[in-house]
Formats: sequence, C-alpha cells, structure tokens
Amino acid sequence: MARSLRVLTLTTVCCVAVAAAGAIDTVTIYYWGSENDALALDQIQDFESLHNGSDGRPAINVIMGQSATINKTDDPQRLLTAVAGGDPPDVVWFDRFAVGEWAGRGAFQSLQPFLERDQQTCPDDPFTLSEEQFFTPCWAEANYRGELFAVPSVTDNRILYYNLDALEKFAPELIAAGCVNPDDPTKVGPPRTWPQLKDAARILTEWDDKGRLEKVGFIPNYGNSWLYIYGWLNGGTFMSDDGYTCTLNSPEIVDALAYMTEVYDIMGGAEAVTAFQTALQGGDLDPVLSGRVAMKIDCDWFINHIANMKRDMRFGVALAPAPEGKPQFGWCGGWSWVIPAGASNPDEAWEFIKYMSSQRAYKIRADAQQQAARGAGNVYIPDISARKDISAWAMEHYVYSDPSIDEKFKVAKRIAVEAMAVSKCRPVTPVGQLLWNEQVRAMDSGIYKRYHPNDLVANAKEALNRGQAIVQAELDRVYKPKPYPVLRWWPVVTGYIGILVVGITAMYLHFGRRMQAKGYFRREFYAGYAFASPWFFGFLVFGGGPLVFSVFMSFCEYNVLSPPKFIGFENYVTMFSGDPLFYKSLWNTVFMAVGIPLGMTVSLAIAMLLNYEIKGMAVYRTFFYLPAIMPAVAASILWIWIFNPHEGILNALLGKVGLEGPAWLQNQYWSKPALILMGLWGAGAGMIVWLAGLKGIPKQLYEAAEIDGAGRWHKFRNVTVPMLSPYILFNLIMGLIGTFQIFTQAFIMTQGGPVDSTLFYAYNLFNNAFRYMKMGYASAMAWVLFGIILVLTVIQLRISKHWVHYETEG
Amino acid sequence: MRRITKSERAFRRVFLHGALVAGSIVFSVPFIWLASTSCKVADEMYPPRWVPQIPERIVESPYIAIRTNERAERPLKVTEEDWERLVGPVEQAITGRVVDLESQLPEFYRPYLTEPDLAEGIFARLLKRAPDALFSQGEHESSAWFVQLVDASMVHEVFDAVYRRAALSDVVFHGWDVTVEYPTEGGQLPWTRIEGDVELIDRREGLRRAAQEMHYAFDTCGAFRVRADLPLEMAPENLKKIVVSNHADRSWHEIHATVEMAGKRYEAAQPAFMGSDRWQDTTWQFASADDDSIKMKTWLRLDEAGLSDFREHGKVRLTLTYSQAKGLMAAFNKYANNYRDALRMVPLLAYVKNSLILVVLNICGQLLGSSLVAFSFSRLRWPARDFCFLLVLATLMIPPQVTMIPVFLIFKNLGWYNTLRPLWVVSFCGSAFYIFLLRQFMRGIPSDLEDSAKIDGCGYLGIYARIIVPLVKPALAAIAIFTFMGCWNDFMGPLIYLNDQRLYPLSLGLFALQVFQSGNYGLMMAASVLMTLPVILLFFAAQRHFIQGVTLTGIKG
Repeated sequence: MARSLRVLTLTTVCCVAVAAAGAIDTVTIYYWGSENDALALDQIQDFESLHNGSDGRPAINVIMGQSATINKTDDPQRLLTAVAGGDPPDVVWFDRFAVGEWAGRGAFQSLQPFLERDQQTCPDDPFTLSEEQFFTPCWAEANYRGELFAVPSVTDNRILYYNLDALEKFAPELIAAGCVNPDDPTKVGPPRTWPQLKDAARILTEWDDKGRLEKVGFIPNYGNSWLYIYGWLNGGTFMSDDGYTCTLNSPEIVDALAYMTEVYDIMGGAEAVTAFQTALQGGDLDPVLSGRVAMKIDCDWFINHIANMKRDMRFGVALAPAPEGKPQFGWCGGWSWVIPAGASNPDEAWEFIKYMSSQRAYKIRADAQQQAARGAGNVYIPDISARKDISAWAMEHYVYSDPSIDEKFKVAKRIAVEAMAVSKCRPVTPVGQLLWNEQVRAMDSGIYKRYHPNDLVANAKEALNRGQAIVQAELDRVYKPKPYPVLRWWPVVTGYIGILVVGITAMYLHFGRRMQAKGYFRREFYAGYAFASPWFFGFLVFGGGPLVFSVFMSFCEYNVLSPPKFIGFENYVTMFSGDPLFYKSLWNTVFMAVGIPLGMTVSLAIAMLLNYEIKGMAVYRTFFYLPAIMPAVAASILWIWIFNPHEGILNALLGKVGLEGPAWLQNQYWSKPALILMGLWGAGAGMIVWLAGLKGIPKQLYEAAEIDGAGRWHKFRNVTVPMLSPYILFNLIMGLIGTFQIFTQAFIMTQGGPVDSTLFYAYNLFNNAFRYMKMGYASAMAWVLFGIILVLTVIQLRISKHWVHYETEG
Repeated sequence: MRRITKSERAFRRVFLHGALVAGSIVFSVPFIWLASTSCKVADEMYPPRWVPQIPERIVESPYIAIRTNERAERPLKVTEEDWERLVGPVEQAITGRVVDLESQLPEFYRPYLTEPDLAEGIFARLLKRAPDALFSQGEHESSAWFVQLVDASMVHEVFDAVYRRAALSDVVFHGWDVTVEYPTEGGQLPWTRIEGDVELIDRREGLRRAAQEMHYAFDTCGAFRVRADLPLEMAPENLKKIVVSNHADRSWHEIHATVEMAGKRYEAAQPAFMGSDRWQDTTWQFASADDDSIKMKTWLRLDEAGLSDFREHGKVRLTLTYSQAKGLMAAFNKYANNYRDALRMVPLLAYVKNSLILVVLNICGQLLGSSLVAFSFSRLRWPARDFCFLLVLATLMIPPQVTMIPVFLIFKNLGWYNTLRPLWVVSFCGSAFYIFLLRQFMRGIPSDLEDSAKIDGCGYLGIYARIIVPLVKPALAAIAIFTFMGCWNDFMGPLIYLNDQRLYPLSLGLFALQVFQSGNYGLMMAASVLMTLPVILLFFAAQRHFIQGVTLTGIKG
C-alpha cells in the first residue's frame, strides 16, 4: 500500500512537473568544470532540482563542457579565444592564483555587487557567502584591488612528508643531527630547521657503486615547493606590500636560493638529481611511497593519495623546515569559480557558484568519493574546502570521527588543516604568471649554477636580479601606463580594404598595360586567375584579414581582453634591446636548424631504401612510417624513458660500447641534440615526399646513365639529385619553417628547461601570447620571425635557380 | 653493361631485406611499446618491460601470491654474496616467527602460514628500515633483527595483500533522483550459493574488510553462481544503478550479472572480469538515455531480458555467474581489458562518424583546392604570379597562435560557431603547404605532353584533369595521407569551435574523456592504439598509389 502510494506520488509529481514545464522559463548556463566531472554531474542534478522554476524564478539548466586540461597549451588559448570572441561560458573553474592577473585585464566579472546584494537582501539564506566563511589566504587570492572576482572552492596546504621506514634505517645518524621526535627525543623524527634538513638529505641519500643516485633524501624542488616556499620561510616576500615593486631579488630570497642550491649539491648537483627525478613515476609507484625519495614537500592531498595507494605505509608529516629561529608554515593554493566577462547569464551563474560552494554540494561530492574509496577497500580523506566552516565540519565528519581511519592519517590531516591559518599564498598581481615563470627560471639558473659556478650566493643573486628586472618592467607597464591612444577597429578594416583596392588597381595598371609586351596570353591570364581563385578567396577572407590584423597588433599593446593601444615601434624596440629571452630562444631555434639537413638525409636514405621493388615493401613502408603516426603525448612519454640517463635504453646501448651517455634532457648542452635525435626518428613523415619524388623519376634516365657506364654514386649524383632538386628545395623551406615553429616536444618533455636550453622561439611566443597575455608583443615576435624566414626563403629561392632543376625549363 | 651474377643478386636481396628489417624494428619500437603497454595492468608499468605478463591459470581460489613489484629487492649497499647468503635463512626465520604467532592469528590463516610469498612480503616491508650493516652480520644476528619486528598486526597487513581471493561485500543502490540506499548495511551479508563448486564463507575477522569469500574450484564444472535477495525501498523504476563491492583474485574469469525485480529480468550487456587483486566497486546501470550520452561510461549496462517469476515487493534479486576463462581466454581477457574499457566508455560511433565526415570533406577539399591552385601557380603564366606565391609561403610562416583569435572572430560572425564548418570549409581554398608541394611536383613535369594536348585543342581544364592530375598522383596520395592524419588528430580546432559534444570528433572525444588525466597509462595507450590503427591501415592501403604513380609516369618515354 505504502509503496503504491509512493509510486502514485512520484507519478503525480512527474505529471505536474511536465505540465508546468511549458510555462517555466529556462535559462541555460554553460560550465567548464574541473576534471572530475562525473561527480559534478550529480551536483548539477541537485542544483537543477533546487532551481526548477517552482519559486517563480526561471529554471536553470546547466550544461557542463569539457575542460581541456589534457594538454595545458589548450586551456588558456581556448578560454582567451572564447572571452575575446564574446562567447564565453558562464562559469569557469579556474586556478585561483591566476585570478588576479585575469581580473586585472578585465577577463572576469566582479562578483562584489552580487556579494553585497546578497548580504543586504538575504543575509540569512544558507547559500549567502561572506568573507568570514573563508580561510584568509584563500579569500585574499580571490580578490583583486579590493573587489571579489572569484569564489574559492578547494584549497591545499604544503607540508613536509617523510617515509618513516627510510628515517628509521638511518636513525642513529639522524638523531645525532638533531632530527628527533619532539615527543620522544630518543626516537627519530623529521627535520625542523634548514641545517637539519640539509644533514638529513645527506644522510638519507644513497649512491650505487658507479656513483649514481639510487635513493634520495630530499629534493628541494620535488613534489610541490618551488622557490616560493623557501623564500617565504626565510622571511622574504616576492612583492612589496603596495604591489608596485617586485622584490624577487631581496636578500632573503637570494639566501633561500643559495640554500636550495647547496642541498642539490649535496646530492651531486641539479643535473644528477633532475635526471634521477625523471625516472620517478606517479600513482602507486610514487617514489615517496616506495621509499626512493625519503622526504618531500607537497600538498596535503598527498595524504589522500597515500590512503588510496598505500594505506599501510609508515609515514609522517610536519611543517616545512624553516631557517633556525624562524617560524614554520605552509603555502596554500587551489581553485575557484569565476564568471568571465561577457557571460550571458551572470545572475544564474552566481546562483550556481553559490550552490557549488555550499556544504550541500560539498557533501554530495564527498559522499560519492567516500563510497568509492570504501568500495576499493581504502579510507576516504577529503580535500580541504576553502571555507573554514565546511572544512571544520568535513574533517570532523569524514576523518576525525571515523574509527576505520588510521591515526597517522588523522594526525597528518590535522597538521595540514590547522596550519591553514598561517599559510601563505602567492601575491595577487597582474603579473602573477610572469612572476611565476621568472621564479622558476631564476630557480633553474640558480640550482644549475648558470652564472657563477663557484659562488652560490653571487649566482643566486644574478639569477634573481635578472628575473626581478623582467617582472618589474612588466609591472611598470601595467601600473604606470603611458597615455597611448586606443586603436579603433574601423581604421584596421578600412586599411585592409584600402590595401586590397590599391593593390589590385596597381596590379591592373602595371600588368594590364604591359601584358602584350611581356608575352602573356590573355586566355592563359584569365585561366590562371580562375584556377587560383580558390586560394584568392581563401586568402582574402580567412588569411589576409588575420595577417593584417596581426601587423596592426604588433604596433600595439594588446592583451586580447581590453582594446589595443597603439604604441608604435615599442614592441620591436623592447624585443631587440631589452629581452634576453628573445635572443636565447632565437639561438636555440637556430641550433635546431642543424637538424634540417640531418633529417633530410636520413629521410632521403630511407626513401631510397623503400623505393626498391621487392616483396613485402608495403609492410616495410608502413613500419617506417609508424613514428610519424604516433600521438605526440604517447611518443613523448616513451622518449622521456628512452632518454632517461639511468634506466633508458639509449644510455644502456651506449654503455655496451663503452660510452658514458649524458643526462640528455636534463643537461643544458645535450637537451637540444636529444630533441634533434628524436626528430630524426620521426623522419618517416618526410620520407613520403621523397618517395613520391623518386617515383616520378623516369627509369629511362637511369638506363641511359647505365649505358654511359655510370656507377651507383654517379647515378645518384647525376640523375637522382638533380631530378629531386625541387623536393630538396621544398623540404629545405618547409624544414626551416617547421624548425622555427618547434613547440610541442619542448612543451611536453622539457617545459623549456633546463636553464632555458629548450626555450624555442615558438614556445617563447606562445608564453607571451597566452601566458602573459602580451598578444601585441607576440605578434611583433611573429613578424620578426616572419621577416627572418622570408629573407632566408627568398635567399634560398634565389640560389635555387642555380641548382634546382625543373624539367620544364630544360 | 656489366652483368650481375645470380649470387650477387641473391646477396643484394638478402642485404636489402636485412636493412629493411633492421630499420623496421628501430622505427616500430614506439608502436610496439604502445601496444604492449596497452595490455598491462597498473603494477606492471614500472620497471618498464616489453612483454606484458601472462596471467597464471587459476583453477582454485583462494591462494597466496605476491605482486611482482612488491617483492624483496636487494638494497644497493648489500653485496650479492651477502644477499644470497642471507635471504633464504631470514625468510625461513620469518616463516618460523609467523608460525609461532599462530595463536594470535585467525584460524583460516593456518594453511597459508608457511607460504614463501607471505614471508617475502613481510621481509620486503621490513627491508625498507633495515640498516645495511645488518647484512654483513651472521645469519643468526640478522635473522634476529627481522624476527623481533614481526608482530601479528604486520602479518595481518601483509596477509591481506597477498591473500588472493574472490569475495563479495556491500551492495549500494542509486536512484535516478540521487537517493542512495544501503541494503546490506548492518545485517548479514546476503550472498548464497545457487550452483557450482563453490563454498561461501563469512569472513568478519582477520581481514581489513568484512566480506563473503567464495572458495571455488573449476575442476568439475566451468561456472558457479551466487545470489542475493536485497530489500529495495525506492520504487523499482527509480533504481538507476547497483554498485557491488567485490574483491577479485587476478584469475581473469568472467562475471555476469542478472537482476530480477517486479517480474522482470535484466541481463548485463557486458561481463566484468576478475582482473584486480584488490577491493573494487563494480557498477551495473539500467539501460537509459545515459548510454547514448557523452558521459564516461564507467558502468556495465543492464538490458531488459524478458519476464521473471521473481515478483516479491520491495526486493531485488541479484545473481552473479562466475565462469571460467579456459585456456588462453584468461590472457585474452587481460590483454583486451583496456581496449574493452576504452571502447565501452566513450560513444565511439558518434565520434567516428564526425571524424569521418571531417576527414572525407577535408581530403576532397585539399585535393581539389590545392591541385587547382598549384596548377595555376606552376603551369600557367599570369601577372603577379610569383608575388602571390610568396604570399602563399608567407601564410605558412605566421605562427597559428597569432591569427587564431581573428580567425575565430570571422567564423563566429559567419554564424559557424559550434558547427563543423570551420573545420572543413577552409580546406577547399587549398592550403599553403600542399599548394607548395604540388607546385614543386607540377613544375617538374615536362611540357611536351601539355603542348601536344594544346595542339590537339585541349583547354586548360582538360590539361589539368587529363594530364597533370594523373601525373601527380603520388603527390596527391601523399597529400591525402597528410590531410587524413592532420584532420584525424586535430585537437585544437574542434576544441575551440565546438561546444556541443555530439559534434566532437574522435580526437577530442577520446582524449577529453579524462583518459589522459587519470594516470591510467594502460587505458591511455589503448586509446592511442585505437586512434592510430585507422591511420596505419590507411597508410598501408594508400601507399599502393605511389607505385601506381610510377607506372603512369613511365608512359611518357
């Protein structure tokens, strides 16, 4: 009876809902969510049931889009394009540290009006947000110039993890160095000060009999630490309080970098350590879980990872060690929700954000995760919510009160959560991304001892001074803008049309008159244009406009989100006079040009081999072509392993012939040759063009040559090469263009490092365009690149007249 | 002309094949690695190995086995000699200690206490905190150090990890309206044997998780069946999915589910496999619109399969049939597992359809557009031709990132956002790279043929279609391959222009479904192989046209 009643009720509700659906307005909002979207779907369903239109307000329908975090190059490009194109999603899940930067450029809507409206109209509504609910650093990171631009969602806190087994193995030495358990000084414990940390790193590191690292005590920048945390722990700040000065080169940070370098040196230097690092895996093969790395500084979610992957691991956590006499603390980061400028439904988006940051939404996600963890026989430890109230409730509810969770997890999580109050966050500044990159670059230059190999402090100082200058210059541009005129669009469009009209008229006048004199046939003339018309059409509509656009932009300061400002030649002047990275990336790229003739030779050799007519050639060709087909991401993972100095097959093979292979990707001198080598292996793609060319050489030519008594070499030299010369030219030019656009491998495999040795021109350009949002500067770089390639191409075309053999001209 | 002897020819052939085989091996290394990784489970990934493990043949369960990556490894500073000398005795001593602890251990451990894998598991764990100096001592001293650290709780932990068993635990019901029910909470675990050589044993103590273990043997018959009748509070039509927590024994036998309620029977459309050796949740979800949606299908589908005589109110009957993977089936089940998951999880057909539409249109467009334009640039003379050609090259040199935004604005203003059009229309205008390539080819063709055709009264269109195009077939084949690859793998274009996931091509569809983020290398590699295979097949088929090209070129002598 009860059951049928329930069914009846359900049916009635459904009917009413269906009947009412016609009358209710529905607003659809688009949400680009986090990667864990299966759980967000449940939250969305719950949100939609709360906003089904029954309260008189429009019903809200949420459509979740893909986030593109597979390939980090695509994320900023996509969002920037969508915002600039005026068609952004309504809500985006966004890295909190970048909020200030994007907000400062006008990419996001201010949430301050919504916040204040809610606090006045419905202060008691359970969904209403207020500053007091949030952890201070999280809230600070979401505000820019006193206005709220994002609602923090989850947060993390960096702490020191140690593998207790590893520590106990060396207990006597560590205790002697002062690393003791604070509750029981006879037992071993984590280091608390920098000197202790350094000693512990030395004691815990093990080398094999060839002097290669086998186990590592502590890598300063492994896990999630960077220069930031060392700088802060040493009392430094990266930005002045007013935000107008970058203090990246303050003495505290110089000392912090010198300290990091010292710790690297204990283990044999940055090159050896980073090489060791690349052999390390994630998942349940994580080196801290397996004991290959004894200690690391990482975010608190690594606790959840241990619970998932190796619940019985003996480990402990502590606050990151600080210099003697200075306080220990952590660093928090995390995510947030934002509404992009130009979003169609900001009100509904705000409702959605409020819902997503509520305890109700948190519980739906956490319950599902808890159940999944239990189903897999694990314990569930939630992420820290950026809201103090939710965090306190969640820790009590899911962790502290759960008897099935081992004590070590509870202790660890408590340390992380309680330290949130004193946590630091990265400075909120419009140059946040640049500061980040320069911090990484300075750290890299520091630990690799790029400038003064024998003086750590001087070296650190030099590295940081350079970084500071770059950040400060950008900061000045943002905060003290010169009164440049805003560029309007109509002159650009008019200019484009003008160029077209003038160009076509000039051409007509120039050629129309001289047509007869030059010997063109009228019919051929028209046929020529008719056949080329697809390209003309495409060029005028899709090609020329964007080209002219980028020419204009190269004379502007343009961040995509606000209107461009005309600054004349400043971009070009900066590039040639004040940007060391420009030259560095240019040099790196020129170096890679070595690969062009090498690649051409290899692929021509392969093509000639594959040009024989024997059985099974189809299969052979397919094999040789395989590398060209491999997806870039999968290929990169493979090559990282091949190049691994300890375990990779390349050095193993070199070892067989008695050579000691270099650290390839981790060595600033070998990283480019390594990439060239990898390019050679992908020569299969070029082989197709050669093969097609070889197929076009008439056999009679070889027969004639044989009759004349030519040997193999002479046939190659006097028949094959001249006949292939048009393709040699083609491959040369394409190789050149391709070299100047090298990007993907460097991005995935080396991120431009070590010490900028794989920062290629196109990568640098990408960083400027989509990381620092200097689209104007990037356009200028593109045009300089264009100029370089154009000059080289014209030279090649000129010279080619002497060596390229076209049958038609014969 | 010098004569080539028979033996010389044979030698050349052998040499040629040798070189080709060697090259093939070098160049196919990545693909072999890709394919082999796609057949691995998570704990085989490191250290890297070429051949994925072949699963053992398991006829009886439970049994004791240690994971390969959890075996004891010689510490670096310990000499091989010392290691050889001590491993045996220490492990024996540990076994002795474990047997001594018998009284503190659950009764069912007893038959397994002397298993070497159990001792090795304990040894490997202690090894991590063992000082290296221990190994230079005598047998007795070092054994003593290990033995004194072994206690019952450690044996528990290790036993839980090495005890491979098939077991069932809690069941959870999820409703369409987000309600959740826990029908097994608190009470007895509900599973009973229906048929087959299996014994269900309640295991409340001694392992980390309370469960019903299934002790089975496939000696006599190849399947067994267990069943649970569970209370269901929600309306039957509200029931969305059933999640069963289960532990498998790495035997790769099949699990097939049947659900009965309210007089209807539902059969699982896909089997589950006993591939893991840990606890895991298996989800069965009733057929619904979700199956055609773009969601990541982490569930197994339940299809309606006729009537059932089970019509008890407020109850669900869940029957699981375990059937033996005979012969090579276990290996097949393991090797195909990642492929099966990848294929099940994404709406592959929809994605492939979109990809094919794009590929076909792009290839047609490129072949037509580029060859027309290249013909004009190479075989016809017209004013400003060389200048225009420089412009063609110029468009190649500008990095795509710089023009991306204006191009996006153009398409958006044309109203083509969220359609497939921006992804193929441009190809009909020809692309600079192919125009350049074809121009180089066409310039190499002697003009005699063209001249005689002109004399015969052939127009330019005739020359293009009848003479030039047939002669550049090898190049057109190359372009078709390049276009296919570019279009098939294009990620950025669809990402920017498409919002509606029903329009996604395979590249975006497969990659975007978190396959690449979850750190599940095996699944990622399987997805890559699935993406790559069509390209390989196409290449294999298309390269025939290179050969065809030469016969056509040959006529002109």
